[in-house]
Amino acid sequence: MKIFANNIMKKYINKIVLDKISVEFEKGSTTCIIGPNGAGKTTLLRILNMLEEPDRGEVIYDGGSSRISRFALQRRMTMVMQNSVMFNASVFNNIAYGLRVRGENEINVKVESVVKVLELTEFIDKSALNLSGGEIQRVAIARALVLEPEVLLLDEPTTHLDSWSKRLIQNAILSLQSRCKTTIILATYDIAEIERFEGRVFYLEAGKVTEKWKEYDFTKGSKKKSVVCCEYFES
Amino acid sequence: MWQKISQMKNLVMAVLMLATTTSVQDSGLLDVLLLKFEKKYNCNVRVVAVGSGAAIRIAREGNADIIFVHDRKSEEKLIKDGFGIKRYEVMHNDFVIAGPENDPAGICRVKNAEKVFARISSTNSLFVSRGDDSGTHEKEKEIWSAIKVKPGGKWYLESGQGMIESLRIASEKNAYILTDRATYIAHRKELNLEILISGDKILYNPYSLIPISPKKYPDVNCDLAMKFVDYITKGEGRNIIQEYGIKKHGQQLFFLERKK
Amino acid sequence: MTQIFQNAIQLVFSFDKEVIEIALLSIRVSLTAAFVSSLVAIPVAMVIAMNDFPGKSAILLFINSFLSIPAVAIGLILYLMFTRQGLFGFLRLLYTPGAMIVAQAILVFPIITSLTIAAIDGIRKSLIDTAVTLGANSWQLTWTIFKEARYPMMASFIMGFSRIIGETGMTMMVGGNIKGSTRVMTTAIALQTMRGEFELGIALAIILLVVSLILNLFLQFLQGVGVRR
Repeated sequence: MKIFANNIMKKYINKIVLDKISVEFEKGSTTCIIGPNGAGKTTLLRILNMLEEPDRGEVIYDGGSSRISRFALQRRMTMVMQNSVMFNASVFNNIAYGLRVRGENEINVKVESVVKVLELTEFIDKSALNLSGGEIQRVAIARALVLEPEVLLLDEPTTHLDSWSKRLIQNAILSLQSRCKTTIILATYDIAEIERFEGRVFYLEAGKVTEKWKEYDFTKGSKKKSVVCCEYFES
Repeated sequence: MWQKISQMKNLVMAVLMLATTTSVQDSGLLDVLLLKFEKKYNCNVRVVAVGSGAAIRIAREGNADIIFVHDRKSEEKLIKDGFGIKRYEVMHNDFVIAGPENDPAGICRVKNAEKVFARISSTNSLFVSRGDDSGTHEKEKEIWSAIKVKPGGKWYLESGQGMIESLRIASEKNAYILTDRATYIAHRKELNLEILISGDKILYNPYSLIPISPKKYPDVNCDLAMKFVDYITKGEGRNIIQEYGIKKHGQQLFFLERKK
Repeated sequence: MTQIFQNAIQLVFSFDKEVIEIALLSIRVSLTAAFVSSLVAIPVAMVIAMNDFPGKSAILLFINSFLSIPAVAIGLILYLMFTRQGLFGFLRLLYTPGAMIVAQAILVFPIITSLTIAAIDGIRKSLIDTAVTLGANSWQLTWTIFKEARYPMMASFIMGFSRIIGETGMTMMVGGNIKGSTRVMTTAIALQTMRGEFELGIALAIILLVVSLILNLFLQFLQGVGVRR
């Protein structure tokens, strides 16, 4: 799915969180959003996922065909949050949640395959409330990947995790993308992660997309250097 | 030092603990009686309104200075056991058998209380019992045992509560009930009950005052208790009892005992 | 004194017919009342907790002030409504277990409602976002929230139940304490004490204590289940 965020503006009380942002996300592309804490990364992802409404501007999905309801669009995307929370249920039921609400078939098969990829087999019948931080994040990724979404929004999914968990999660995401042409939008601090995802990068600061990203050299070690295109409107 | 304390004691209002049957309280008579008494002797009467059985028990345990009850057998036993000084027969009224107006058991033609009870039990008509060892309950048990019936079963409703509450239950349930006339008259407006039987000898209901003996419990306020006895049996109390109810209910509720 | 306690304990363990009958009626009446009340209170609480609307704080204030309404005031109002001349007199409900159930259900309603609202407020916003982002529609979201709050909701049910099984004055007013029909543990204790029959009163008090002990153990367990490690 192609997404176009057009002139998005969001304010919380007196603070401008997003200031007239316009970005386009092509189908199957990877976009990394970097920037300091409080720059508006999470808010942008939440607006793209329709968890919040922008104060001004709009998000256009797939060129804006108006026949598809908001809810149907929302079901074609999913998001993994920075500190994922688990439902008070088993790991299996957590992962199956999205499939169940969609009324899908072959839930067992689908869950089992994603569980294998994320090496969660031994936890499957355990209560999700008794997992460690790394395990929780793996379940959260599994919960999202099992849906095979067209758009995957990731809000610092591997921060604070050990490198083994990081690698496991990154591999799982990349394999989904190669299989399903998933549009990935990733907020992160982690330079190594940006390198792995090989996407374009833009830098968000104080609610604005700036070109400051150029100061970072992400190209080290990466052969395919993608062109970062971000529209930047002067206010 | 002791003088000071006794002086202080005089400053504090004297308190009379009165345990009484509910009918005296529920009919409203007690409030009128106490109002004047408290003013006259500048004292405070604390009333515990319970069934006669409970009132007598409270007295036995030394928690009352005087009792105002209507259960002759227990009263006499209380005096024999040395707890009460003397029975002062103050007044009387009578018990009546009340029930729903349409009288489903057809008791109103019968004049004899024992036969009425027999009829109620044999027809399994609803009957509300105080079930609380009160004077009224004792009277009821007396009648049951006179006809050798052990009441029980679905038709026999034991409320375990005071006279008013039991009357209300009888009224709601369309049941028969044994009640003292005073409480019934004072509340008849809110009740769907009629007096069906009255005037039988067994339904005679005398009330007496018994001050508690300081020999058993030295700290009882015997002095004030005797003042209360005098106030009721000789003083203004007599007029109050005689006139009570005429204005409000159109009839006298309690009748003075003839002086012996 | 010790004799009374000995007799009382004997009465409990001999499964005296009257004692058992009274205890069972108590539990049946209060359990039914708490259940009926929950059937209304939980949906109402969920609607209030999950939505923002004008007047919400006023409703919360209203519910919270009803928490402290004296039970006997409810008893009095119900008495006047259920008495034969009253608005609902035709139901002939006064002095029946039904009247006690209605009264206790009304008494427990604000308790269960406010505790359920608190239980739902206790669910993290991020959990609700997670359900939405995984594709739950509004009914599925409601069901998810209900399931997430199930332990604290059960706890609120138990708290409500223990409140009403210990209630005396109101239950006496509308129930009438009729032996074998509406005589429950609390009204019997109140009555037996007045009659000087301490044994039955103490025996029932022991049962009441044991019931609330068991309930509170269960409550503690439930509160443990809901808490993250």
